[in-house]
Amino acid sequence: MTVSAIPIEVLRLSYWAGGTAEERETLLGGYLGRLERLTDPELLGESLLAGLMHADPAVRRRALAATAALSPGLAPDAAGWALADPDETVRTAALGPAAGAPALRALLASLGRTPETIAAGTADCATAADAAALRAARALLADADLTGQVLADLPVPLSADRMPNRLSLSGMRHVPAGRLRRGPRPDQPRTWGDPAEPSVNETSVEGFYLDAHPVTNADYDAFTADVTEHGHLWCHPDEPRDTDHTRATVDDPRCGADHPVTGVSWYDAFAYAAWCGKRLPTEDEWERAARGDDHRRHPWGEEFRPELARGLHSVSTPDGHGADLDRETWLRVLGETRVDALPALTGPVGSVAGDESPFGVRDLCGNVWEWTATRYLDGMPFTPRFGTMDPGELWGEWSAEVAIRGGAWSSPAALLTAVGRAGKLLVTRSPEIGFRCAVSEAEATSR
Amino acid sequence: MSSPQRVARFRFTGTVGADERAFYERHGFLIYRNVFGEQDIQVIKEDAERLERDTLQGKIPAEHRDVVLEPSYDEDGKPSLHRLPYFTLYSPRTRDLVERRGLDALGPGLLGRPAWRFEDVIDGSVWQMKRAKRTSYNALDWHLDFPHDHPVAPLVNVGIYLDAATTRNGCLVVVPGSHRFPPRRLDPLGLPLVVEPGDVICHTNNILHHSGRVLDDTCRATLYLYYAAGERPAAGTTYTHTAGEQFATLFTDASPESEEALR
Repeated sequence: MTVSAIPIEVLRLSYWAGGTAEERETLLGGYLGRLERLTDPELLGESLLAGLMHADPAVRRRALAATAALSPGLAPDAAGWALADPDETVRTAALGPAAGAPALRALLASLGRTPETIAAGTADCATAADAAALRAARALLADADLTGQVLADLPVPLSADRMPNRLSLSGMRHVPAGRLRRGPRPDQPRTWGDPAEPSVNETSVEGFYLDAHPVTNADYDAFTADVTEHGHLWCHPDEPRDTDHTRATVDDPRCGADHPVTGVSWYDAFAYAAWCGKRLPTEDEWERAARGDDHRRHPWGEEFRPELARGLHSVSTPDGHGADLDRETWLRVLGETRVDALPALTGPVGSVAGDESPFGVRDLCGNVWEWTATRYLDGMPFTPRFGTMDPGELWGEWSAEVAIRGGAWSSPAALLTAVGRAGKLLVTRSPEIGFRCAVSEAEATSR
Repeated sequence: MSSPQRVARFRFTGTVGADERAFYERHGFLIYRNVFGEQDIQVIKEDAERLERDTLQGKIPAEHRDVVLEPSYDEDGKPSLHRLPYFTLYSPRTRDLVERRGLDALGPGLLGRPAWRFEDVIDGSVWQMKRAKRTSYNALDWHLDFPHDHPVAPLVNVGIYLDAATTRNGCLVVVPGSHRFPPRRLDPLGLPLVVEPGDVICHTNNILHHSGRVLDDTCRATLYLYYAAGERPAAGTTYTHTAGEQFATLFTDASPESEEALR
């Protein structure tokens, strides 16, 4: 449709940028009168849309009423849009004719609540329009067929309010609140892989839930499929635009569906966690889950047991050495290892009997390093704000390094501990780094 | 949680280990905890009181008196100094203490080559005191001590903390890694280094750093030693700090307030 086909009264109203109420009423009079004379349904629809999307709420209200009177086919959608209108006078006007799927979709979106919350009447209501919207939504939800149809069409979580539907504590282990002594205990023998003493030795950790094992490739691929279908709904706001979340190992047949996901950046891990209503664990949470109340060196106890941790000794024969390599030897062996020629890198999660922390969390040491939500150098919460920076500029930026924990299939015994730590740039995608998710007790019970 | 939780702190054993050297090279700073005990600190503080008194009484040669920071004056007009250059040159007990504790190993250990300590050149070792509000010195804006191409560089700044340094009393704030990569931000993100009395902070000559304002009623004294591996100038060569600061202003806001702090 060309602009020349749009009636002049509609164009005048569309281009009216505000003025006196008298001017508006004059323009509205011409607009509404012209609408009544239009016989072409397409032209009528375009002209109504001009009023429904107008910047002035009074115009939107009148256009809504005109739509109900002149275009029954467009009216449900128009009411649906108006139900989410930021101006409550428009919203209230739409509540009267609210009916059908568009209205229910709009009410669910504008109320931002699950149907269960609406049916129970526990939604947050602050104004009369909120209360009226709740009443209208409850009336529509009483129609089971309509509700089923609308819920079936809903995209996967539209808002944080719907996350509870996705969050499941199944497959997670509860870690009660307690004290954490960071780093090796004074009575524990130290190795070259141990970190230096931290500035604050002890801290308390609130209760939380942690995934029993790292996120698998199958889990992660389901997330990337959802991103493909619904867009970047769960991503960190600082993430570079149009990030492709596909894991870097997607074409590597050695990375089985039940292996821990690797080849993912911190941004990828953050988005995955948000997708399932969780978050990344802090470094303190990770360490407490691994070390228990007795601050043990490994999840299973004090001594290193090579059969319980998938390290370099599991995927390669390190030059006749065991797992216990010194730094120089390890670096030499690893440097000479052709990773692409190794028959296997990661192994299936949860497959090693006895590899379990006091809280029942598995695969914490070995297999993959795990991203945390903690900045590496100072142990403070990691809050990226690098959106305007080119990834190449992040090298050397200390605040862009995230703490990773646990060691990987490429690590020697000295790094396969619950006390070791390392830092990696948040954009790094490595075949040795994966992650798991956490939920606070408070987050779990409030949903 | 408001102050750093996991900043690494090392134990000084008289030599610099591979882990310490690697950390210093990567991040441009290093913290040794508990190098000096209470009695050691008392020795240095007594030397500072004596040297301040001697300076104010004119017993120290003019060329060895501070010209960088103005004195402060109390309500009765009594002056106090914020900076005492050539500290170990005039404080044999402190100099002996530094040597007995093995700090001279820090220069060659961290720089990886022979190094010499500032003693009779470029202000020597420097005692510096930050006092609470309404004094002539309670903050220092972003700066470098010496640019990388300064004739004396590379160089290690070794700060012996005689009082606790906290985020409330303007502790040292560094931009880790800025000695290797120029900061990418107009407003660099700094890491506050909170330490206890007796701790030692080492940092490179060209790491971007500052110290914030004293917000509480505490005072904070530090004795700085400098170990250089570059050229050794003739005795009496004076200190100049403008080169590093002018370099730093390329990356930071040179507001009137910050320029004031640099004077």
